[in-house]
Amino acid sequence: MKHHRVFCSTFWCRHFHPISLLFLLFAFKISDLQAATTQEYIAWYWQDFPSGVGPTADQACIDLAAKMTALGFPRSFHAIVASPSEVSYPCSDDFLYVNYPVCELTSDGGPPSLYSCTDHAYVYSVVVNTPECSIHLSGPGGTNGALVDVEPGREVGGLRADVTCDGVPTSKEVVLTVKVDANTGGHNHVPSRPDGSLSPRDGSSPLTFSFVAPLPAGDHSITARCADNSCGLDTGKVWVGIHGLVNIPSSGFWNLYGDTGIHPAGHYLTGDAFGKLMDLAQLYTQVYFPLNTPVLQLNDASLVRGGVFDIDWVSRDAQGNIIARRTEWWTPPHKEHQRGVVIDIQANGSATAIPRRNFRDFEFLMRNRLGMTWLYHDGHYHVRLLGVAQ
Amino acid sequence: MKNTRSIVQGFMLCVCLAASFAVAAEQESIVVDSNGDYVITYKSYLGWQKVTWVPATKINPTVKGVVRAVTGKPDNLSYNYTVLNGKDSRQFLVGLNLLASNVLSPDARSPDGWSGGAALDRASGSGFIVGWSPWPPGDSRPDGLKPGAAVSGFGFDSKDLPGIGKIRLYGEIWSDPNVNPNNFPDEGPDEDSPIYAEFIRITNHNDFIARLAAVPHVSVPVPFNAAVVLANIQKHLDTDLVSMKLVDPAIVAQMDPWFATAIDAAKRNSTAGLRNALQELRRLLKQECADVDQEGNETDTDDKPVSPARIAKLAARVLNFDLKYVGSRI
Repeated sequence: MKHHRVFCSTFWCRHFHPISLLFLLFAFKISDLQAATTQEYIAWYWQDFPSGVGPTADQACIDLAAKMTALGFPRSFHAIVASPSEVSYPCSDDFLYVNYPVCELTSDGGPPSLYSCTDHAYVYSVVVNTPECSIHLSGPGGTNGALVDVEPGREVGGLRADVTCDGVPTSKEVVLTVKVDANTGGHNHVPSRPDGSLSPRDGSSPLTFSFVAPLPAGDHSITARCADNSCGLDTGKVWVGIHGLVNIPSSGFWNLYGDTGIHPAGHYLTGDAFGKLMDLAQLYTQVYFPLNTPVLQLNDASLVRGGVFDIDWVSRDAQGNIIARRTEWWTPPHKEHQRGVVIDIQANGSATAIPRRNFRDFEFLMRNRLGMTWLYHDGHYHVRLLGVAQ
Repeated sequence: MKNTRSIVQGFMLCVCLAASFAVAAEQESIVVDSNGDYVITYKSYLGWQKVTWVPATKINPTVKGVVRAVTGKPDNLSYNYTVLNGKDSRQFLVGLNLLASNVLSPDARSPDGWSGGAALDRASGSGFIVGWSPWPPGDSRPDGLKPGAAVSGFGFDSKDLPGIGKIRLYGEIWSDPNVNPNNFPDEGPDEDSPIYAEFIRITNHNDFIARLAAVPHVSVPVPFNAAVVLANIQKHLDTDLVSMKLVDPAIVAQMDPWFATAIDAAKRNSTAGLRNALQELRRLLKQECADVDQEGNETDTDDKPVSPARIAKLAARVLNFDLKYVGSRI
């Protein structure tokens, strides 16, 4: 390509000149340096020619070469060089008295030669404003500022991830992750604890998604970010559990036992179930067996927020060594014991348990007088205080 | 040689049979044995289990109820029941209970050898469970009601009018005081087991025999308000009795307009209009059931309409009692 380009001797050129542009851009960009900004490189060839643009000088040159090729002047980026002071052959590209780095573009991508056209373009950097983007999680609202509450094993929707750039809602690819918070929901054991799941886990904002709670109660933290990491991140919690459970207090009608370091609070019931327990205990100790009978020994009910009440059921040999593991943490059994309406009452023949001679009448009391049902197993009555198996 | 071959063949046959039996046995199931007990086979975290569940349903009872106003206390109604354990029952009858919308005391009247009382029905959130057990507690069997025997004297007082409700009756499952019946080694079938729903139905939801009887159901406000009570009676008729198939919707369609008339008259304090409407309602009932005014004479067929009647006798008598009571309070 033959043309003549002249370095302007005056500050403002008749022709649109990159040096002027550079100064102008620099002047405007000072004020913008305090906002979100990025650096860009411009490869300027000619006033009527599209410029190359890129995050680096090389990329700007490559972009320019592609644009020249598209316009019928096949060029490839060779190198960035100090401004040549001579006309290059054979395409007579004048480049005089310029001290800036330039793209060297040749028709074959190799160094300038007698057999290829060479063009040069100014390359310089500019600072441009980039929009400030942020991501925000929202939901219907829940306990202690959570995004939402949901019962164990259930799914809840209405969760959203929104991206705004400079305050304007913007569509960007969003990525979501979720992780259960350790030692929440009444479980003080960690390994292999299941996380909740999200559906979908990614997509374009505004992204509406749902959360599926695992069986154990607890808190789960959701993190949202843009796929290109351009909008920071936001986190929010999901509260998983059953509301309204009350802790069985100490009483002269019963004795509480069974709390462990792993499950330090396993005596929670609904208000109605607790009322039935009171009825049962009062009738048992004051009416049915007021003399010489131990009070009821109350073992597992539900955890503080309900959900699966997992136990480590093992078989042991005579020396106490574990010979078989029957259950897995985070899964039933216990079966039931999840919604605060069931409790285990000791009946194993020990000195503090319900005496065997009382079993039949205890069953009459539960069923006939109070409408309860039960399952007798492993030396205890698994009592369904409201007559439902939950 | 022949003997050896036949021995080998016999051995192989035994092995095959044993293997096929093993395969057939490893399936969860609930079957009823010759005693009428449920044999429950399931797999748990302890391996394959087989547990026999003795149901409390091997009884064929009858319940007769009588409701009377309490002399000198117009707000109080006395509910009284006689229970018969059928001759063909295979268990002693050792318990009964019912749901009542209201009771006036936590104590219940009981025949000799029994004790009863009322407790809040916290499962439903309203009403009371009134139940009875053999008394005194302790190993004093046989107690309860033997097959063929009857006993009267179960009762309590309420301010609410009778409707039709279920009385649950329970048979004796303890055959040996030293052996727990229905003793599971674990928590039973898993919730995702194909037999779980049936297991819960048998062991939790339906382990009793139910009989219909007059129980407190129609709420009576204090002070007495005829319009409210009539509306409550009508609601019981239109919804509960129809859904229990104790009354043909055709007769409900005949009675509803008279209920509307009666309620309107009550609101307008028109005693004459109210009495007239009540008379018409009772006349409709008498058309269906000639002895509707008799009390305490229910038969075994009282829980369903007997053609050509379009309402079960028990339902007709209960409704008639309610309407008569409203008339007595105006």
